[in-house]
Amino acid sequence: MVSEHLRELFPNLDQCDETSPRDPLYNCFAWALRLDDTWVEPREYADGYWPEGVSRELKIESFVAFFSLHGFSICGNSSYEEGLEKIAVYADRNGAPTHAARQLPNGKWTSKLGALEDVTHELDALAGSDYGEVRVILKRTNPFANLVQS
Amino acid sequence: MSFDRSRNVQFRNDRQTKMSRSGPMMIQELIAQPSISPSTRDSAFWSDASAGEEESVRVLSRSIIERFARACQSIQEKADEFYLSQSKPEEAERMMRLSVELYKGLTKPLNDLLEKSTPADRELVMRGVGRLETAESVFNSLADQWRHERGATSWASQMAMQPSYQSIIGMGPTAIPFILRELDKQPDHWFWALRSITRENPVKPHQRGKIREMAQAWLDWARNRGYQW
Repeated sequence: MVSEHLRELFPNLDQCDETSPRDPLYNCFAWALRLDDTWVEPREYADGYWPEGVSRELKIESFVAFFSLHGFSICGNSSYEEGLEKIAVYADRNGAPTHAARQLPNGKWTSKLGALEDVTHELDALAGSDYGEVRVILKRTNPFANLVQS
Repeated sequence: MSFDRSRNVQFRNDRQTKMSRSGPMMIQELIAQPSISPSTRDSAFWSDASAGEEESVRVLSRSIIERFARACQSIQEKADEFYLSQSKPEEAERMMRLSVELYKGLTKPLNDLLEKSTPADRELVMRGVGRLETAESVFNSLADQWRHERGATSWASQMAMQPSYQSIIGMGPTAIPFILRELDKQPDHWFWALRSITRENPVKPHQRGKIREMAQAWLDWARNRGYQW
């Protein structure tokens, strides 16, 4: 079941589960790291969290560097692999990052949609919207592999 | 409740004398007496008046409310001017506080009055306080529009570029109490607007991205400067 406002924003989102209420306290890049109390944003004047020493340019390379601080590296595919945690970073046609989604143990993906809800979805369901397309997949050894996944 | 006609008449005469002065004089007088509490005095006045003499109350009320509205407007405009020029920031803040006090004092008697008014009277009264009522309703409308317009963007910097958000910034210091009220109710991305309007930033570097902490920093900042919301 897809809410009307989400269908308007994401025409390819045929099916998803909303897993949180709307919340402006955190965004997708925080949620990719399992944080639900932080707004991650590189632009200096945007008041978001961004680590010292990582480029603030809105480029894929900046986000690869950002996620590498948390143990992620570039990966060749988006298939689910036991023991690995994967993140997909979306970018617009200019290559500017727009969104990130985190893979769940069932192979689906969880996304925080801006200041809106968290949803569980197929990877390509958000493509074609303002988020553009998936540009890079990152992976790390899943530090929560032996815990219940959220 | 018993109706003390002599007290009520005397009170009204006092009020009329006060309110019959010209705008600038009244502003000076109000600034000189920041302890004036319109809400308390007006509540007593309207409570007594509700026991009778509704027609005279309506006539008087228009005069009082319109004068209040003009005073608020003048004070806000002066505060805007000081804010923009940065020449007298303390005076600007003092004026903003005063206009907010006046506005809050006005709300209760206005609502009481409107309940009893005919449609024609209601229109007259609303015209008298048009700018103040408009400021709050315009803000609420723009804020709703902004929450819709910002869609699912992951960037606060894009949210702040929405025309509705820019319009709120364009309201200037008038918008500050309304923004603070929103921030108090539900922390959200109002920081850009507050920074733009006030040219200050009480958020410490380690708080960046922690929306609740950032909201609290701004609310503390506002309380220290006497803002009410």
